[in-house]
Formats: sequence, structure tokens, C-alpha cells
Amino acid sequence: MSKRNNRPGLPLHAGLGLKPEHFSDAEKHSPKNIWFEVHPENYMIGGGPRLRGLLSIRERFPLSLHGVGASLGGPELTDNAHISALKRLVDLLQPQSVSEHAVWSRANGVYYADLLPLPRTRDAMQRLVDGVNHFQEGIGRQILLENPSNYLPVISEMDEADFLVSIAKQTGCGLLVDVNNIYISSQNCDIDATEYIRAIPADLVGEIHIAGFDVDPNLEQRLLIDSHAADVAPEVWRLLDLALAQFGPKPVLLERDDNLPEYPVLLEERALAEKAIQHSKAILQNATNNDDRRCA
Amino acid sequence: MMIDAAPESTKDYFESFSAYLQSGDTRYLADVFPQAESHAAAAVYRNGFLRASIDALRNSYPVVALLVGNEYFDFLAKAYVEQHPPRQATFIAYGENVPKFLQQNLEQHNLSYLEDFARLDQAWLHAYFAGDSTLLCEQDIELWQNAGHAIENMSLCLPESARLITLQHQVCEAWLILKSTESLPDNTQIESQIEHLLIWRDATDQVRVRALQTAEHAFVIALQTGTTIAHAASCALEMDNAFPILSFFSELLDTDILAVK
Repeated sequence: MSKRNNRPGLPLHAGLGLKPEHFSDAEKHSPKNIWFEVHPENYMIGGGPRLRGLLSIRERFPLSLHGVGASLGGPELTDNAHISALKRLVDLLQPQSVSEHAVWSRANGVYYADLLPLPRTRDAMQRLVDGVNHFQEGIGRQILLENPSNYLPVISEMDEADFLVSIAKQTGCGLLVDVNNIYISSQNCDIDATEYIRAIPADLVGEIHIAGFDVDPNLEQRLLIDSHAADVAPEVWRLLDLALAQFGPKPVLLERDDNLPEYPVLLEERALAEKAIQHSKAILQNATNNDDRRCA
Repeated sequence: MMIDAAPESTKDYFESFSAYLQSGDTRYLADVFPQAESHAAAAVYRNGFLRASIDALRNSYPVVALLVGNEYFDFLAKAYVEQHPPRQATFIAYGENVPKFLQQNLEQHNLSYLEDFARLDQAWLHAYFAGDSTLLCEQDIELWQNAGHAIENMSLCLPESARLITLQHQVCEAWLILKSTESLPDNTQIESQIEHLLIWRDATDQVRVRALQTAEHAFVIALQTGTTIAHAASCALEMDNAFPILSFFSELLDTDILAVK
């Protein structure tokens, strides 16, 4: 699967990471243009109210399945049972987008339940290319691949942005740019977040993530943790603006996995992301109008 | 920032990282983060692995966690993760060996009844996430009879959500109280006595629990294999020749325990 497909993606609006606790509120109190994202691993079940709730959400709103357990860069290819379970969900829900992470989480049959960093070497790149190809073929879909949060500098022969862009070009996958992860990596590993974003071609980007982080209780500001348990930090909002200026309007997702506030509170924060996208659309429209005037 | 590869291969990287995650021994990290000034930050990965696994067990065994308290539950769960690390990326089925693990590790502390609480938690979870079944309704019986068949020859089974469990202690009442109120009265006693329970999800998605008498248990066990009503009834009557088949069957029908085979 080497070519990017033309499947309609997510709408150019802000979405929200959705938890079953908010299903009822989401159905009753959501703005029309919202879309939702869930972790498919939480829905690999036989049936019951949770799966029915998600189906009901899907009937009314666009949906993204954002996996956390495929271990695409790991020493073993994603196991067939996992791929089959995801394929069943994809067939059932027909999501607008499927995404995963450029990490590993499984070795020798043990699942480590975390998004573990890969060395950025040619050998590791080949493993990830093989992993993405195997995964995309298994589910019959192009995916978006998300950049990880880094807590320590990893062994590297190239920058992370170059590493990911090369993988996208080799596999036909798109990129999910998590600006919170870029900010965390920039602080923990002393990289330039602006340079990172500028190194990614806009046409590869299918989605942007924003989220909140926490400081490590022991190492404090020396280590930022990608907790998804807090409001989005001002620095991350600034990086989102930079990313939208660089890439043009893209779907933006607000992630929140822990310390979950009431649904209206999440909607307020999501509205800020929607405003940023609309601003990006307006800039693009002005630029197009100016070009048209010049041509006329 | 470019850092030269230190381990001989990516395979060594994964092996060293895995060994660190399982043991917490920072000596393995030299192959993983060779240029790091300090490996203290790497603890975030091992802590993340343990925390996610322990939280998954707490979500699957909430009444056990309430019963033993968070601190002791974390201690037990960490030991379980070390003995039985997760194998699948979906955590919903993780912890299937917890009842046996508790029985093996806590019997000498007179806490063997914890296994029974765990089996109830496990059955509840199974019922909640099980696939939907086509439940038997009165119209199905009418159609069967209108087609000239005797009702006793109807073959039935239990819905996919149903679990029959036999416990060694009478913990059901305490489990139900904990599940709904999150605390137990101080004078709660746990008797060592066999208890047969049926756990299932009804048509309104409520997970229900019912204690079964010996003859009721025989009737439901027979149904579990997908048999006729006549055969299930004969199994129950062997246990109790005065077993009220009609009223028990009506109750099963009304509470969504019967599924179409």
C-alpha cells in the first residue's frame, strides 16, 4: 500500500477524545460540527451498552479510531488477533480516520501498556515501515502515524521529523502531528519545536492533536509527562497556531484521558481549537482571494 | 541531537528495554539511553507500564479493590503483573487468572473468600461486555406452539452474557452491597458454604445476579448446553421431585435468561 488513498478524512473542525462516561452528554449537548476520537482497544468487546453507545455516536458524528496498542515499530509485527479485532471495528463503525503511534509496546509476547520510544536508526525505520505496511494491509486502510512524546534522548541517526516523513513516504501513511508531544520532547530532550514542525510537509498531515501535560512529581520541570490529565498549556496553544499556519487548516483533536472534567468544560476548551482552525481557514481564504485578484 | 547507536542491534535495544521494564534494574538502560545524564526519567516508562496494568486490574476487580483497600490492592496487583504480565493490547480481558492467583497467595491468611469476590467481579465484567443474544420472548413460544410443537420440545440456551459460577463461600450478598454502596456493615460475616450463582445482562443492559437452589442450578446447567425444556426439567426433578418448573421457567423468561438456540 504505497499510495495515499483519497478516502474522505476528518472534517476541518475540532474534535474531542471521547470516553463512555460522556456518551450521553455527547449525544445531547454537542455542537453540530464536532467529531470524536476513541481508543479502539476499549471497544474490542463482544457487544453490550458500551459498543452500542459508540455505534449511536457514530450514527450522528464523524469518528476517528486512535489505536494505542499495535506496537508498530516493535520487534514483532502486530499480531493477527489484534488486527482482526480492529478490522471488525473498522467494518462496523466505518470511521473517517484510523491512527496509531510511531512507537513499540510489545516484545516476547508481553504488552508493556505504554508508548515506548524507538531508536531513530535505519534498522528501526525499516521495522516501522514493515509494521505500518503489515498493519495497513491487515485493516485495509491507510492510517495516520503519530509522533511520540520523548522523555530521554534516544539513539538517533536522524531527526524525528525526518524519520517520520520518510516512513510516511515509504508506506503511504499520513501523519498525525501531536503538538503537545512535540512540546514535551522539546523540553525534555532539548529539541527545537519550531524546526520540527517546519520539517513536516503539509500534505502529509491528516490530523493534529493537542492535550495537557503534567510535571513529574520527582523531577518537576526537568521532566514533562504526557498525561492527558490537564488543560492544554499556553505554550501548546502557541505551537498549535504555528502548526496551523505551517500546514493550513487541519482537523484538531483535544485529547483528555484522565482527571476528566464535566463535558461542558471539555467543550469550552475544544471551542478554542475550533476558533484556531477557523482563523487558519480565514487566512487561507484571504490568501486565495488575493491570488485571484492578482490573476484577474 | 544525533546520538550514535550503542547496542549492537535494534534487537538488543528491545531486549534491554524489556528487561528494564520488567525488573526496574537501571543497569539495562545503558543500552537504551546511552547518552542520558541520568536514567531517573526512564522510570516514567516502567511506572507507566505498572500503573496502566494495575489500573486495568482495578477496573476489572472493583469489589476486590474495595474490600482490601487501595494500598493492599496495588501490592497484590503489582505481584500479579510481575507473574502474569499483559499479553494483549486490549485490557478488557486482562487478569483472567486473578481469582486463582488470590486463592494461591492468600489462603494462608484466611482470605480465601477473596477468590469468590474476584470470580463475581469477573462474571460481572463478562456479562457487561458480552455479545448480544436473541432473547426468547412469549411470541416465540406462541409461534412454536401454533406450528403444532409441544413447548417441552423447544430447545433453548443461555444468552452469551450468562455465566454460572459455584463459589465456596456465601459472598453474593456482601458483593452486591459493596457493588452498590462501596462499603460493608461492620458485622458482615462470610460463611463457608457452597453458593451457585447465575450472572447475566438483561434486555435493559442491567447486569443481574441470582442465587440458584440445587434443582434450579441443575435446570440452568442443562440449558447452558442447549437442550430441550423437557430434558432440563428432568435434570431439575432428579434433584427435587417437587421442583416448580412452570414458575421457574416463567421467571427465567421474564428476566431475559433464555435465548433462542
